[in-house]
Amino acid sequence: MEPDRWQHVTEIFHAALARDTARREVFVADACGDDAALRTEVEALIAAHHEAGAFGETPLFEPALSLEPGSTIGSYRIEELLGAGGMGEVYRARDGTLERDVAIKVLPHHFASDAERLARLRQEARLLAALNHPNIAAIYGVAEAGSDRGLVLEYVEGPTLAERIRSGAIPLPEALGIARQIAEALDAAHRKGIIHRDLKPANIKVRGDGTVKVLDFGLAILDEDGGEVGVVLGTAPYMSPEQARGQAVDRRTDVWSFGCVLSEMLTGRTADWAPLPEMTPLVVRHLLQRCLERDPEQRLREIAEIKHELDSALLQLRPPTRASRARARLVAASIALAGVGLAFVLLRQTTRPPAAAEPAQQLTDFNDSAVHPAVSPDGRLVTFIRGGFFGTSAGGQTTVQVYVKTLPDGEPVQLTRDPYQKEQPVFSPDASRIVYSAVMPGFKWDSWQVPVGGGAPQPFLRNASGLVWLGDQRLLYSEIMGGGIHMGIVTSTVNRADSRPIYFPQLGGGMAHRSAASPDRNQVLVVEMNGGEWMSCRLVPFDGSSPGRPIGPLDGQCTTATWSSDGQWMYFSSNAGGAFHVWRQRFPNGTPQQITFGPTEQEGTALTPDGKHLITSMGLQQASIWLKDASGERQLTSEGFAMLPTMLRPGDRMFYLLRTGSRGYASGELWSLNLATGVRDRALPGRVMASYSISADGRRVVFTSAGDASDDGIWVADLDRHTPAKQLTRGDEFRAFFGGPGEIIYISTPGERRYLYRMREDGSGVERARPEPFSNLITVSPDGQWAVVVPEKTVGGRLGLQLVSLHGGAPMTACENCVFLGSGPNRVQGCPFNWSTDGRSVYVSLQYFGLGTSKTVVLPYRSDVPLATLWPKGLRDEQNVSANPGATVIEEANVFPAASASAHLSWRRSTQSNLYRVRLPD
Amino acid sequence: MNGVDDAADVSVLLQAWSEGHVDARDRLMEVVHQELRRRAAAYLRRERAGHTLQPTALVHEAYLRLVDQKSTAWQNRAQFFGVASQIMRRILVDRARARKTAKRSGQWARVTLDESLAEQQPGYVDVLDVDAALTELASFDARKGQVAELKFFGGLTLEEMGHVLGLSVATVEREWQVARAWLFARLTDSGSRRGT
Repeated sequence: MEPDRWQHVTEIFHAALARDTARREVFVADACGDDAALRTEVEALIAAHHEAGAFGETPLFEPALSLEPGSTIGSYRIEELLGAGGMGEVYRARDGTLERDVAIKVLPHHFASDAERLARLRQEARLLAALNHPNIAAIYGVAEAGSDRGLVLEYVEGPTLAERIRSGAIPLPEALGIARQIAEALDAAHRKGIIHRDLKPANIKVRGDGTVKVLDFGLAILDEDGGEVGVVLGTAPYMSPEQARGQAVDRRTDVWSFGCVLSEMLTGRTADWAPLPEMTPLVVRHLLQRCLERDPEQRLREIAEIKHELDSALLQLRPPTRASRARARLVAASIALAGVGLAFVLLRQTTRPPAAAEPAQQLTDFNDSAVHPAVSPDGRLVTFIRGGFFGTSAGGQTTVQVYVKTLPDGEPVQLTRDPYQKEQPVFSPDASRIVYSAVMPGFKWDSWQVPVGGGAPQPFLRNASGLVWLGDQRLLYSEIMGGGIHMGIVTSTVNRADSRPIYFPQLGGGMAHRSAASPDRNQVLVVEMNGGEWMSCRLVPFDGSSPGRPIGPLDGQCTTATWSSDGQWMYFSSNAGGAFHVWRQRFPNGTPQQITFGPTEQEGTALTPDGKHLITSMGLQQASIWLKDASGERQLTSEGFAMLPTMLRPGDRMFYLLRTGSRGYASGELWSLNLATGVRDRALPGRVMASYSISADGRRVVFTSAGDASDDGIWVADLDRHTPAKQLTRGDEFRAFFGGPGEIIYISTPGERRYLYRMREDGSGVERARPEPFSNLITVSPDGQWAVVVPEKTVGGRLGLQLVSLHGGAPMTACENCVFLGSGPNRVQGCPFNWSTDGRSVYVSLQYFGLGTSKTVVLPYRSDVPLATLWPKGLRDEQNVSANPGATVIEEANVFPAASASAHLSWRRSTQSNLYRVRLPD
Repeated sequence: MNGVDDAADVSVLLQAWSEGHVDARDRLMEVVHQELRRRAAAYLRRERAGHTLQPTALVHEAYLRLVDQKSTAWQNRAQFFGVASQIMRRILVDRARARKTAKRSGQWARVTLDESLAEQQPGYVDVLDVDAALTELASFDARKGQVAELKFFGGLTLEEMGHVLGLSVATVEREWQVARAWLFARLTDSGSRRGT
């Protein structure tokens, strides 16, 4: 067969299998057009696929069975072989004395005299004899006849779980019921100190009456033994990482396997983290996350806890009441009506640099957003993210999905359906699949792949994001070093062999998210964040010999970078001109020039293979502030991108930043709104700030400048504008807050690490407020007692916040299990930890990373009570936070205090942007 | 070569090969070939009437004997099975040819397979039929040929195949899906419908 033709056959074959059976035939007919022979080929292949049954999955050649059907061993007559593996053969046999069926397990013929295996068989008999549990297949005794020796076991009728799953995922309630019984079996074993070590669907049977039986304790050991160190035994896809490495194991290895089994039941797929069905309850997602923790120290320890979680999930699954169903319908309807119309202004020609003569061609037409475009190597397809933002979408509330479409006017096809945040899809070199970055629970940045023709996404590379191919066998991507958030650029083969760092940001909190190698692979363009803001882009030598130099427009933030195919030009998305547009610069020493213009913004630099066009995302972002109180909800701002509201006294004034776009997503001018009169006013005209804090008396503001670079640092100003603003520091300080009386608390980077400082309002008395370094400062309590910080290092792989005392006192960890992000767009979203200005309550935002749910818990605060007394349950996760005395819950995130307990402010963001194809200037 | 040193030797060879020493691979092939041949012969001597050997079991036995499991990385294990399944195929084919068992009736294989479908019993096929079909598949799609060889003669898992071939598990799975369907069609009646 011709390779091209064969390639075509297999492509259609895969695409067809990815579709429902019902639509397959029509699809194949369509795809083959009038090539009848092609169609016959494909159909024959699909038919064979279905007919093949277990062909190739079971041994192809005749095995030598140890026992013949019809033969006897002791008083048992062998009936048939039930299963065979390296560790044994299991037969169904008839017990002539008791007139019942039993299962007999013997060693495979060629291992019959293997001392180690014999010892293991005896061990299995002893361990099983110690177990007597309805969810574990029992042992009846040992049968011996001549040299043959076998275990006589309870015969369990019914399919194995593996057979059940082969016909598809198991519905949630049933899967949880099965999982509950498996947990019972494991619990019983663990209580006797027995670890199963080979828990997998093929070792679990489900009887017709629904009873679940765990089988095959052939690899089981006693907990105290820890297993044979250095020898790997078990079944690869279900083995815990420590077991796969041949290390000593304990009961937590079964917890991992249990997680694999539960996940496989729910997804129908053998992968410890295939996307779960959308309706999977949060409690189950959390349970899986805790079972499938790679580090056993972090993993859930007790099966009893699993049982408890499963019970609460089963309880939640009880059918909803009629009223709540009606409410759900109403919400769905109102969401459908909420599409916002926005007019686009296309690129216009200007007289400045050479500009596009051809009008931009619109490629998508969504009422939300299409971002992160990438073009297939042959230029026929474009993939993109729908629903996200261009900055890292981390922590966003909307679900974002990977799409693909044929250029220019094919239907967009959705390829993913899971709730995780995603970005940066790219095509594999053979264009058969799309690999994208997903932010998984625990702030893990992983690469996933999905076939272009559709199909279940599969993990591609863990701890790898912003991935691009360098030829067929090599990759360039971002990797987090040392479990924190220190992300740099590395290159390796597709198997992660020959891995080599190219660039890591100097600061531990820096994250180099994206990269592009020059066509000759001598240079790499790096897109990085630091202190929660995008930096300018960077040009780094591919050999990693130096940290390189900033490149592109230097006075702006750079969010994408790429090369022309001849390596002559570098393209950037940058907001250097005040808003995001596309720029280019001749390699190596040209002058940056802006090439797209207009009132809308453009981000994304996907060049078409012919080098003549650019696909970019064009649109607008808006953000508004709403007030919710006893009288209802009303919108307080409607123009532009408003953020970071502060309200001092009920019904008085609200301050907020209105983005000017001059430098960064999170910077703007300070406005005040008089709630009584509705009059708006620029509080400090011309001052662009990244963060601000209003004094308790409402008279002064301390802010960090985001205006001209010469203004960088901390400033104070009177809000009545009678005296000019005064600059207190001239460094990289990007967050500052009023603390105790006459005091300012801020974060600064004097050398290579960041520390907390305090100073007086006149800039004198600068001193370090804490001895240890941090990666970010979130907020400071109005009484100046507490700073909420992001630690420099994660603790036990978890990213939490810490409340550290500025005056001595025990620290408290917050949000450890509900991962919080202290940087990036979150700074805009509002700090998830917010004191009301009267200092009497704290708003804690809980955002389950990537899971699309979030809420805010309001807790009472008092200066004169230790935190441990005030919040006895602690702040580690949602359960803890909400169980504290006096806690109230608001079912949304991005909530800010509104100066009275009965009201709050909400911050809401919307994006409308679509993909456009733009002719590049010559 | 005595048995105790074999284990150390093969482990070293695997390591050397993984570090890029190509001649280590040739030497490894030699050792594995000897071992597998010897095992196959021994096995056949104690074989009971009517039973033939099961190649995947033999390959695993050879691994247990030849490789020091405590010092061998998982990836090297995959490499071993990659080599061993290739050799196993050769041994089986040689043996079948030499014995001229004349079982090379495609008819036999087809009937067995078809019956097996009806009864959901494992189906067994003739080694020479499989060999011919694999060779044909490899002639226009080398990678799929390789995947099927690893599966049939080495009993490798998708993950192990991924390591041997330098492919992601998902790619291997896709390759295997097609190879399996094509081979099934080729080895049964449905092959003739296709007219290739």
